[in-house]
Amino acid sequence: MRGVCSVRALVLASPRADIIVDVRPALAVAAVVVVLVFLVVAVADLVLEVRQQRTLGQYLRSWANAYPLFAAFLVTLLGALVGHFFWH
Amino acid sequence: MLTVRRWVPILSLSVAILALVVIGAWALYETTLLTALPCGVDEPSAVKHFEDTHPGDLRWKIGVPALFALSFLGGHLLGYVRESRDGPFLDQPRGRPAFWLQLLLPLFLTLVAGLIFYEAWALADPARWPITFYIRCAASVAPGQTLGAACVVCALFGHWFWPPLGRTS
Repeated sequence: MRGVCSVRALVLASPRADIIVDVRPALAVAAVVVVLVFLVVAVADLVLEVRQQRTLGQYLRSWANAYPLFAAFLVTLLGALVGHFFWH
Repeated sequence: MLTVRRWVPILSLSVAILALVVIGAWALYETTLLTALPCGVDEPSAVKHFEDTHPGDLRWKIGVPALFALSFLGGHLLGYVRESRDGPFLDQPRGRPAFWLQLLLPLFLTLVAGLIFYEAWALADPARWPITFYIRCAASVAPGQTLGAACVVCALFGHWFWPPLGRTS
């Protein structure tokens, strides 16, 4: 239907200034969500590494070893998403 | 003692964290400065890909996936460095993982499921932008930063979810 009549495009093409207000928080949330999730886990991993405790990476790798199909599914999902976002 | 097997993972993780912090802060700062839609107002211009900004340039088409694959492989190889050292924390017996890990994984998977659900919902509702559009928009406006963040994520996935064979207890 998008090719016939893109309602989304009409909304975004609106000259109303407040459209920006609608998009800007979403952009910020998208940036924060995507970055923050990995940031938190990486910081936790680093802290445990510095403190010479069993690291988060080791826990996750143990889990991936125990459940290789789940891990493979997650990695495949990431690959599919990255390909979808950046490649065509 | 700070041996190579110890400082390589610390340095790698620090660089990854620094990259995520810098890119995240930059994205937030630039977003606050927006006075117009950064990717244009029509849908085709909002969903441009990397290579659309450089038409005919095969380096984007080949280089970008190669870079992601190399990042993923680099994360995996870092696992060999981390697992190759000896340490008291490696000798812990197999057992149930920590409670917070049992909590973290379902939370992570729930978040991923939630994001995919939003994606499907936004595709069905023309008034909303799916996440894909935001990421493609970011890739079009700031390809370097977006590529950097994606490479870090690929490296972390390769490090966490592709364990060295026979090394991790």
